[in-house]
This record gives sequence, structure tokens and C-alpha cells, in this order.
Amino acid sequence: MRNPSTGVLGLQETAQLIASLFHQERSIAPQEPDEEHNLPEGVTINPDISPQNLREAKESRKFKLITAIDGGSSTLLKSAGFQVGVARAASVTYENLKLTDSVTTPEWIIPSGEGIPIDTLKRLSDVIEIEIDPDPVWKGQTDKCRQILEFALMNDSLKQTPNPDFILIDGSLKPPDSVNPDLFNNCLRKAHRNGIVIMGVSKSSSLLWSENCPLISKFTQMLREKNKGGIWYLRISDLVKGYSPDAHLIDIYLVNLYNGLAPALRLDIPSIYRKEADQIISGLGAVSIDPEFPGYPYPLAAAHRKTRILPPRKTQLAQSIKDMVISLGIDKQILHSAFSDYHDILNADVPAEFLAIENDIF
Amino acid sequence: MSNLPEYKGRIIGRSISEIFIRSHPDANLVMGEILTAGDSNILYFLRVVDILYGFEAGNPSWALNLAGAMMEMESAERGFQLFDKEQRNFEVGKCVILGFTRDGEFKRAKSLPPLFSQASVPTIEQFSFIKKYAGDITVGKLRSGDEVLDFRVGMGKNFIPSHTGIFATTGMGKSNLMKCLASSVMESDGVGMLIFDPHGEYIDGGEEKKKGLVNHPCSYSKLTVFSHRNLSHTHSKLRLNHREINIEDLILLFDFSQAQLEAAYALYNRYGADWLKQLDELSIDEITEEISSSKFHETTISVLQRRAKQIFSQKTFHKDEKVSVTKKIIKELKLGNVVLIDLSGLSGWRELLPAAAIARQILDSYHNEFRNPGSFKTLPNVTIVLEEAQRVLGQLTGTKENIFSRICREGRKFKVGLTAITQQPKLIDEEILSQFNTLFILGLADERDRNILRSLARQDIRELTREIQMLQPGEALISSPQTPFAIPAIIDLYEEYISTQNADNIKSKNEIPSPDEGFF
Repeated sequence: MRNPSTGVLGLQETAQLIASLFHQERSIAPQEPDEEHNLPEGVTINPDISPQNLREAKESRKFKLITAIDGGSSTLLKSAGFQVGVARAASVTYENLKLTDSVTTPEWIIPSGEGIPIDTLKRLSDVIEIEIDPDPVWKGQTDKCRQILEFALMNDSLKQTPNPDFILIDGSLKPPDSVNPDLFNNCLRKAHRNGIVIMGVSKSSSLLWSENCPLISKFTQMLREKNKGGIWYLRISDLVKGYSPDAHLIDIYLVNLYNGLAPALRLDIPSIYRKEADQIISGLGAVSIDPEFPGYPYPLAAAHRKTRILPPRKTQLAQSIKDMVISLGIDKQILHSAFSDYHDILNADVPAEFLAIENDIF
Repeated sequence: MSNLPEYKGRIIGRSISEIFIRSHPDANLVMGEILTAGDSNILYFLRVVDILYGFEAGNPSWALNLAGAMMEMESAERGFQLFDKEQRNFEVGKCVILGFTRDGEFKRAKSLPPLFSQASVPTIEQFSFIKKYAGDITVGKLRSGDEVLDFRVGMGKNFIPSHTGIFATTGMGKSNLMKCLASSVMESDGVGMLIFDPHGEYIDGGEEKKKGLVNHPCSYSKLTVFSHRNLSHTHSKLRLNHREINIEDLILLFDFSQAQLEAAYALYNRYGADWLKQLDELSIDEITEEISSSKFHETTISVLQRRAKQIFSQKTFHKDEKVSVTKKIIKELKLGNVVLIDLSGLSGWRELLPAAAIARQILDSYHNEFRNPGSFKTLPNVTIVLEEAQRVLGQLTGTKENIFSRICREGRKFKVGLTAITQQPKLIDEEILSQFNTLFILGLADERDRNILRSLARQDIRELTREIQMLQPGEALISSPQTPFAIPAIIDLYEEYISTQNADNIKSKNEIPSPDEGFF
């Protein structure tokens, strides 16, 4: 470098660029059902999204029993071509805003790697008694297991007596990988028959307004311009031509459950409830008034806290695995060489809580 | 209190000097309450000495942020709802280990109860070890926090000569406690109690709806009242003669110059016990003449004489040596009775002079008996109750040593104790204060008073200053050599107490096992 210099370069330009993104016009083609954006079958994103379509959820209906399901997964050990993850899921049930039931699955340790025979999904299938398709792709096994565990808990929740009014799932409402979509769709149909509304609540969304502007930001911008409190929503999906509302087809909404205090969320609700969206969203708003999580359904926050796998637990589990490997005759140094990362030494001076930010805590 | 342990929380840390408990969602911790932890083999007893807010959040600003969010949400239309409140915020009790029981024996703890042990309210049976330390002069019931338990507590007769302090701010129940103490003495044998009553509140309660010692069912046989004024109750006139007044007594009450003191001693040397009478009756010239070898100035003698005349202007003091009630007082005390001396309406030296003269003669009498071990052994312990004790037990230097401070220093050997009542223990000489072995601590508002007591109590009550501050009227901590820890008590309301007393239950109340003196 001919002109070595300290300082930061490009700050101003970057800031200007980001600011300009929020002024972009709607320029994106209709987004079809796809993996990347978690768009379920039969759903397309409406290209015509405007502030005129914003609705305020005012119709109050009381929902007594709410179950929320979330999963947690994390990587415990990682080496070139091989890794070990952990996954679990939890469900919590609130009756009249009081916790009445809580279930947490065991922690599943999931080894995976190219060419390594993986039988975790099969073992999982045996335990949860749900048929799981064999999955030859080793990458993402841990997340797949997490999704399956969440699905298993959703399936169990349908058998709850009395039936919950809502089942809230963290994330979009779509079949987990490795699970036959029919199984998932049948769950949604069964839920509808039993008067249960299953909803997916996503804290983040990759849907776009323009090529570079997140749709959720545009929604927030529209709300800011309205400058009003309350619960607001915007249906951003349409059913693909030829589909009609059904229990297994999904509508996607952007919602703000505590306008002014909370970020917007993506909400997936079976399209069969399209006419009741107002009541359902306002019912969801009624459990989104905890001061620690304003605008986020508290039962989901509680489920998240039950299932998240924090760094101390990860360290504990990783160490247990290492100890067992050593007890099987593998030299400690050799084992260490497989899973160590010199970053650990370089960052040894940094408190663990700062490093935790880099870790994937779902 | 039921017989089933009430689950209060679990131990979460942290050392043998301070145990922390996370409260159960359904439980409230109460300052001063006693909890148990451990198992049936070793049961630890813990006392809650502080209560803190607790929350699971790792972020120390959690509560701060949440309070801000609550206020923001309040100002919005929809308000807020704190879900899972009991799980997310709770109480953390800071406790001290009082000791543990094993096979019914209470011992000081040198080990920790297991982490995460359940902390529970003790059952009646688990508390039964307290009976052993309850004392035979009882004044109320054992208290755990706000809960009153059916165990009577007080102090041991044996500790009467080791001096007792009753410390409380006005309105916290000093007088009521004193009446309960006196009534318990009347109900027991083997203790004499002399009460100087400067406010006339102990005889009949002093005001409407209040009761006094004369209302106690045992008062007929166990209480003797003396007064300088006419009372509607049976009493004797308080009379002392000139021979009963010592220079030492006067030093306590009057400021003397060195010359005046020397003149007083010269008079004593010349006239012996009649010195005060002579001082009153002779002229200045005659006195000067009689003690001419010392060459005192007339003014010096004149000051002394003026004081002598002031003393004899009081009906209480006579120059006829046959007139005295002191012998009768001492006799009653040696019979194990309560003697009440009403000094109401008197103030300053007029009140304290009879008290000092009588107290001195009691000490002298017991001192004389001490030379005869046979008869001394049969004498009951006696305590002299002094209100506003800081007046005579303040910072003592040189000649300010007086009969009450002497009793504090020497009385224990001769079975004579002092019961000092004060609102301001901080004003009492520290060395004197350290002589008080049994303390009845009621609510004390002044931090300096609480701090001074921390260093005195035999048990470590350093951690109890907050509890002392929070004591309600009638609530007390009793610290005594016989008790393994400062016993929390609720003092009987005297009026209620005597309304339930009759000869039968007084008898049964006295059937308390004697304390294990050798334990500590």
C-alpha cells in the first residue's frame, strides 16, 4: 500500500447508499413460492403493496389458550468436513396469560459430514413417531433436526386437551425439510377442524420491497408516516392463480403488534382465516404487551428462552463429547487439532459474552 | 403456623457468613423470619436479615430498562402486562446461619447447608429446641418475622445480676415490657426487683385503660409500693434519713468544686454519718470552727449547707435516724418480691437521690451477706430498674463514678444487677454498656443507637440493624448469654396478659425447663 493510513474509509458513502435504499421505488417482480424467501406453496407476494392497504386490527376477540413453539440449535464442534450440532425445541402453553404447561425436548446431538452415514434423522423419526424422509445432504442437518422437533411439538399440541386457540410457531409456516409436506398440511387441516389457528411468527424476513430494500422496512416506513399507535397489519401475499383459501394454504402478513414501540414481524396465517385476520391479529396483540418484549407475542419469547442453547451449555456439551472421544483412545492433542481454531487463542482476552454474539443462538 | 413446612425458597449461595435464598413464587419473605434448610439429620436455622429484588436476567440494567418500557407503554393506549411475573422477578433473601440442630441439640454452624436446599418455615416441632433457651422470666412469645409462635421467651433468672438493658425509642413498648418483666418476676421465685418509677406508670398504668402492677393477681403478696405522695393504692411512705445519704450519692447529682468536695469529706470525717444533719443544723461559723484545721472558705461551706437544706426541705428526707424504709425494701427484695418506688412528680436530684441512696444500701447489704457464703447462697438475685439510665450512666470520668456504675462493675459478684432503660444507649458509657449481658432491643430509630448495640450483644447482631430499625411496637430482639442467637419476640401486651392470668396458669407458666447454662 503506497499510502498507508489509519482511520475508516467509506463511511459517508455507505451511509448515503443505505439512506438511498429506503427511497427506492417498488421495483421487484412478484416473488414466487421459493426456498430462499420461505414462501409456502401456492403463495406469491403481491407486487402492489401500498399504504392504502394498511389495516388497523381493532376487532377484539379473547383467546384463552395459547401454545407457542420454538427450537434452538447450535454448532458444538466444527472441523473441515465434519461438524457436530445440538438441537432441541420447547413448547409453552398459556391459559388466560398464565403459564400452565411447558415441554422441552431432549437435546439431540447431531454429527454430520460429507460421506458420513447419518442416522440421526432416523433415530429422531423413531422417537417422535413421525415419518422423515432420508436426507442425503449433510449440510444443515442440525437445523433440519430442530425444525423436525418443532414440528413434532406442533403435532403434539394438536392433541392437547382442551385445544389451544392459537399455536404459534417461530418462523414461517411451512413444512420442515425432510418431512413430507402432506404431513404438515394435514396438521394444518386438522388444526382448522379443531378450531385451532396455527400461525408462524418470523422475527426477520428476507422479503424485498426493491432490489436492496427489505419489505419489512418499507412497512415500518409506512406506519411511521401514519404515526399512530395500535396494531397494524398488511397482507402482502396473494394466492397463486387457481388456488382458493384453505387450511393448508398460507397468507403472509406484515404486522406491527405495538406500533411505536416494536419492530414489525412477518406473520403466516392459513388463508382460510383471511376474513378473521383482524380478530386473530388483534388477539395476538393482546399477548404482545409484555414490557420486556413489546410487540412480540410473549409466549413465543418464553418458548425461546426455554430452548435457546447458551454458550456455557455449548461448552459443556462440547467438552462432554471430547471427553468421551478421549476415553475411546484418541489422543487429546490429535482431537484438539481437529476442532481447535486459532481464533480461540487470538480472542482469549475477549469476554465470552462478547464472543457469543458471533455464535448462532436460535 | 401449620405443622407442615411452608416452602419459602431455595438456597442459591453464597458463603457461611451470608446465605442467599431465591423465594418461591408463592412465598413472601419477611425480615427477621427464621427458616430451616437441610434434612432431618442436620437442620440449619437461618434468619432473614435483608430482602432484595431478584431477577433472572443477565443484564444488570434489566429492571431499569423494563421500568422505562412500562412507563412508555402506560402512556400508550394499551398498557402492559408483565407475564410470568413470579418467575421473572422474585425476592432474594439474605440470611445468616443461626446454627443447626442434630438430635434435638442446637449448635453453632461450622458448615454450609447444601446449595439449592429448600428453605422452609420451621414446624412447631423443629422449633422446640428454643424452649431450652427461653428463660424463666418470660415476657412474650417467640416471633418469626410477623408470625407468632406458641413459645414463651424472656431471660434467665441466673442472668439477672449480669445486668439488663432495655433499649427503645419512645412508643416502642419499653414500659409495657418492663411491666411484663416485673409481672414475670412476681410470678416466679428467687428474684427480687426494685423499680424506680419516675412517671408513676407502673403502679396503676398511669392512664385510663392501662393497667399497672397493682392489677396483677400476684401483687397482693409479691408487690410492695413506696411513694412520696398519697396514692389510692396500698403503699408505704418513702422516707429516708440523713444517715443514708453519702457524699458519693451527692457527687452523682450536684456539681462540686474540689474545695467543696474536700469540705464535705472534712465534715464526714468530723461527724461521720451525721455529717449532713450537722451541715444543716449548725451555723457557718460553727462548721468553720469545727473543721478549722482544713481552713475552708465560708462560701464553700455556705454552698454545701444550702444543698443540705434543699435536701431536708423534701419530705422524703428526715433527720430522725429511726425513720427509714430502706431496711423494709431490702427485706422484700431478699424475699424475692417486687418493690416499686414511685418517684413521680420529682425531678432531677430529688428523684435520683433516693434512688442512689437506696441502690447503694442494697449493694452494701448484699456485699455484707457475701462474707457469709451460707446465707449468701440462699439470697435471690436482685435487679434495680432505672429509667432514663443515661442520666447516671453517661460518660463517666474520675469522680463521676457513682453507685449505679459501681453496681454495673461490681454488682454481679454480689447478685445485684441493674436493669437500665434508655432511649439512647449511645449516651451510656461504653464500658458500662459492655457490662449489660441481656439486652431487650425494641425499635430504635437512631442509627447511632443501633450501631452501638451491634458491638455489645453476645450473639452477632451486626446483621440485625435493619431488623431493629423495622421492629414494630411490641416487637423485640432478646440477646442474652443463655440464648444461641438474638431471639425475636413479641412482647405480651400487659393489659391483655394479666386479664388472662390466674393462679393456675401462672403456676403452669413457671414450669419451664431450666436453660442449659453450660452450652455456650
